[in-house]
Amino acid sequence: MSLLYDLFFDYTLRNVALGTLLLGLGSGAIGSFMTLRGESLIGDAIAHATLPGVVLAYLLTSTKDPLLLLSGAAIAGILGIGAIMGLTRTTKIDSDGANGIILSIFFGFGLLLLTYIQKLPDASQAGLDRFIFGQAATIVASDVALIAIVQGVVLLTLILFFKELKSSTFDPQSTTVMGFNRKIIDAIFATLLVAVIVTGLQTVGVILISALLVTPAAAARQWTHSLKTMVILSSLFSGISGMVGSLISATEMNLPTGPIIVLVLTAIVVISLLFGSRRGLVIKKVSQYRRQGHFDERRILLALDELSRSHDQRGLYHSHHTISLLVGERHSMRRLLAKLVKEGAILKEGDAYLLSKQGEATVASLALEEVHHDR
Amino acid sequence: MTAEIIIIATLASLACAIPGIFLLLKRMALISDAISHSILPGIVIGFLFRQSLNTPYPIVGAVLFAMVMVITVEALNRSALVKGDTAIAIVFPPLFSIGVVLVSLYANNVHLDTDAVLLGELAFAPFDRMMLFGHSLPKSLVKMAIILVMNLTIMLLLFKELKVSTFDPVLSRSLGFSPSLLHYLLMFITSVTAVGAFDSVGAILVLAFMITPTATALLLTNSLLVMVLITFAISSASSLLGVLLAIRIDSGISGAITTIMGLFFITAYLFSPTVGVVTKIRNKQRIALEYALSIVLYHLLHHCEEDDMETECSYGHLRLQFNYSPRYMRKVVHTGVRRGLIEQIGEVFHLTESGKETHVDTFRLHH
Amino acid sequence: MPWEHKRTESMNHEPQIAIEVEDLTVAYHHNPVLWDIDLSIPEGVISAIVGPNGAGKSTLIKAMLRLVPISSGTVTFFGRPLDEMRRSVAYVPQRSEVDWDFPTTVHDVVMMGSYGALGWIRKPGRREREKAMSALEKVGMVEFANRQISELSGGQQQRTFIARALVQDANILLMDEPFAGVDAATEQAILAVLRDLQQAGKTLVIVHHDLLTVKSYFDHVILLNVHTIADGPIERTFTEENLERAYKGKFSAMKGRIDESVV
Repeated sequence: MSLLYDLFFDYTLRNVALGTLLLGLGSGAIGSFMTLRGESLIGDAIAHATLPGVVLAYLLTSTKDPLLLLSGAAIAGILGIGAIMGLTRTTKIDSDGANGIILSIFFGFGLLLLTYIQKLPDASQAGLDRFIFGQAATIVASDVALIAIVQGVVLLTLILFFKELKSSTFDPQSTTVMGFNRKIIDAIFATLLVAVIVTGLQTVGVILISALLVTPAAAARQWTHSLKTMVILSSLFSGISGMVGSLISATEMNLPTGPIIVLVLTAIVVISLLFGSRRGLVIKKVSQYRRQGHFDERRILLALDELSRSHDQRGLYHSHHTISLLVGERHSMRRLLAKLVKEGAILKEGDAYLLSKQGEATVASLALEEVHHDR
Repeated sequence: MTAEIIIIATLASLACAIPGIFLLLKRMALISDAISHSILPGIVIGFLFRQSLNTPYPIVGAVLFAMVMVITVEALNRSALVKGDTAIAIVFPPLFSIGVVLVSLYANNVHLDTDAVLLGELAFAPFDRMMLFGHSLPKSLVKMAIILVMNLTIMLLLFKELKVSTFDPVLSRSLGFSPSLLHYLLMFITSVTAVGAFDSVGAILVLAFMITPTATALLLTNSLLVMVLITFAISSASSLLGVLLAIRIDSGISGAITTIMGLFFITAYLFSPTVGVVTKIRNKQRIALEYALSIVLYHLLHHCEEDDMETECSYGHLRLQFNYSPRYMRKVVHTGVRRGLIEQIGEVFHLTESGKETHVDTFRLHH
Repeated sequence: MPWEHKRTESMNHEPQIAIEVEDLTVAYHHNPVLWDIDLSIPEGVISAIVGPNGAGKSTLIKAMLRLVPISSGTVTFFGRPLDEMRRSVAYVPQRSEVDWDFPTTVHDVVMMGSYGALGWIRKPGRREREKAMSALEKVGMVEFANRQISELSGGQQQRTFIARALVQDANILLMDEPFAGVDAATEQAILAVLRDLQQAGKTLVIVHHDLLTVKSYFDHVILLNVHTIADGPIERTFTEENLERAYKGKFSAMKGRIDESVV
C-alpha cells in the first residue's frame, strides 16, 4: 500500500513511474515495426551511436540542458542510421556487420570524448555518463514533460501513417508502385525510432533501450495475428513493464531501474512464448496433441470398417488387440476407444468393439472428404 | 609502463581479431556483442565465489553464460516464434541485467563496479602484477598472451576447416567437418576472449576490437589469408597509436584505440583501391562513359540500317532517347568520333567499320 | 484533356497501345540485364513474358514499374509516364517476395489494394472493406477472409494477391509468375479470374515459365532473352523459330513436349 501511496505522492517515484510508462508506450509501438522489418538490432546500434552526440553537445555549449544534449544525441542517431543504411547498400558488409561497425566507431569515439572531458578540471561535466547506464532517479518533472511530448508526437505520427508503414513493411514494392515514396516512409520510421531511443537514454541508458523496443514486440506477436493489436499490446507491455519495473526498483533494495524493467519485460516474453494464444509453444503442443488424437480416432474407425468388410459375417466384434495390430500400439488407445464408445460411434462388448450405424456414417463421410481433398 | 600498456592492448586486440574475422564473415558480427554482455552475470557469480577476479571461476562462469545465451538464441530461432536477429535482441539484455542487478546488490563488498566492467580501464592494468619465471609481469598481460596463443593455435590448426565452414557450410558437412562443432568452438573462443578482454577493453568495445579491423580488411581484399594479415596489422597499429593518443590527450584508452580503428575503417571506406568511395566514383565515371558509348553504338547499329535512320540517328533523337544531359550526350558522341567509331554525315550519325567491329566485341563481352 | 480525347476517339477505331517500351536498357553494375528492349502491348490482351532463366523477365516488369533503376529508354502506359498513371497500374509480385508471417489477415491484405487510391494518411473505411470482400468473392476466397496469411497454401496466397490487385481497379495488371507453385485446380481458378478481367477490358502482362501452357492461356507473347526476341500475337510470334532463338540450344530438348501441347 505504501508503494501505491508513494506512487502518487513521492515526487521522484511519480516522475520515474510516469516517465517509464510513457517511454514504454512509444517504444513498444515503434519497436513492433522495427522487428517486423527484420531490423531488430538497429535500435541497439543507434542507441550506442548517440553517445558522441551527447558529449559533443556538452563540449560545444558547456551546458547540461537535457533538451540540448538530447538534440545532440538525435543528430548522432540520425547520422548513425544513415551510415548503417549506406554501408549495407554500398559495400559487401551485411546489416549485422554494419550495425556492429557503426555502434563501435560511434560509441568508441563518444567514450574517447567522454573520458577526455571527465579529466578536465571543470567538474560540471559530472553525470554525463548517466546516458550510458541510465539513471531513472535523476528524472525531474520537466524530463517527464519532454518524454510525454515526444512519445505523444511519436504515437500520433504512427496513427497518422499506420497504413503506409504497415503496407511498406509487408510489401515494400507494391507500396511503391501504388505511389508511396519509399524514402519518405523510411525517413518517417527512422525519425520516430531515433526520437524514442533518445528520450529513453536518461532512464534506461544506451545498453538496454533496445530491449524496450524488441522484447515487447516479440511478446505481443505471440498473442495476435493483427498488426494493430500487436502494436497496442506491445505498447502496453512495454509501458506496464516500465512502470512495474520502476516500482520494484524503488523498494528498499534500491535496485537499478533499467535492468529491472528489462527483467520484467523478459518475464512477459517468456510467458508469451510459452502460452501465447496464437503461436505459443504450449498452445502448439496442445493442438498437436489434439490433432494426433483426432487422427488416431479416424484410424480406429477406418480399421474397424476394414475389419468388418474383410469378414464375410457382418456384426462381428473385434478385440482391442486386433485393432491395435492395424492402427499400431498407442498409449492413448484405451482412452480413445472409451471416448468413441461414449460418442456412440462404436459399440463395446467386453474387450471387443464394432462400428455402430453412426460410426459407419462417419466412415462414409471420411471417404468422401478424402476424394474431395484429392481433387 | 607505457610499453606494458601498449603490449597488453596489442595482445588484446590481436586476440579479439581472430574470432572476429570468422564472425564477420559468417554474418554474425553482433553475436560477439551479445556474448560480451551476457557473460557479466557469470563473471559476477564467479567473482562472488572466491571474492577475486583472478581465479578461474569468473572465466568458467562467463563461458557458461555465453553458452546459455548461444543455445537459447539457437533454440528460439529453431522454434520460428521469432525471426532473424530478434532472438539475440531479446536474450542478451536480461542476462546483462541480471549481472548489473547482482553487482548493485553486492556493491558494498564487491570491488567490481559497472563502469569498469563496461568501459574497461587499461591504464590500471600494470598495477596488478604477478611473478612468472622470476619476472614481475602484469596479470592482464599474461592472461591476454595465453588467450592469444590459444586463439592462434586453434586458427592455425583449423584454418582450412574454418575457411570451408565459413564460406560453404554445406560443402563443409559433406567433407566430414561438423559445422556445428566448429560453430560452438568459435562461440567458445569468442566468449573466452571476451572475458579476458573484459577488464581491459570493457564489454561494449570488445565488439569494436573484434570486428572493426576485420571489416576494414574486408574492404581491402578478398583473400582470407591476406585479410587475416591486414586485420593483424590494423589491430596492432591501432593499439599503438590509440595508447599514444590516450596519453597525449589524457583520455580513456579503449575509446582512443577504437577511434583509431574507426579512422582506419573510414579511410579504407573512402580510398580502398577496389571498393573505396573515391575509387568507385572515378571508376563509375569512366565505366559510365564506356557504357553510354556502347549503348549509343548499339542503338546506331540497330536502327541506322533501317529506313527510319533519318529520325532515329540524329543528334536530337539520341538526346531524347537516352536520359543524359545535352552536355553529357555531346561528350559521349565526341568520344566515339574521336576514337573513329562514329562519323557524322549531315545531321545523322553512322557507325564506321571499326565502330561496328568494336561494338560486336563489347557486346560479346557482356554475354 | 488531350488524353481523354484520344480515348474516345479510339473507341471507334482499333484498340490503342496499353504499354509502350522503347529502347529500355537495365544494367546491374554495368552488366546489362536488359538490352535495348522495344515492345508494345495492345489494350485488352493477356500477354505472356517468356524466356529462359536469367533472361530478365522479372526485371522487365520491375523496370516498367521503376522498381529497378533504368539506364536508358522510356516506358509509357496509354501514352503517359508511370507517375501520371499509377492509379491505372497494379503489380502482383512473386509470392516469395513478401513475409507471409506478417501479422495480418487475408481481408486486410486485400484491402491494402485500396491504399493507392486513398493516398497519404486517409484511412480505409466501409467502402474499402466492401470492395475487398467483393474482390475476395471474385477469386473464391470469401471463406478465408479472416484467416491469418501464414495459414494459407501457395495457391491461396496467390489468389489473395490477385484480389488485392482487383481492389486497385487498375486497367493494366503486371504479374510476376502467378502460376508458380500452385496446384492444377488453383491454376485453372486463377486463369478463370484472369479471363474475367480480360472480358472487362483489362490488359494483363504475366511473367510465365511454363512453355506448355502459353498457347492455351495467352493471346499475346513477348519472347525475351536480354533482348526482345519477338513480340506480338501468339499465333504469329510463338513459333518454333522464335523459341529456338530465345532459348538457344536449350530449346531442342523441350521441343517434343511443346509440339504435343500445341496439337
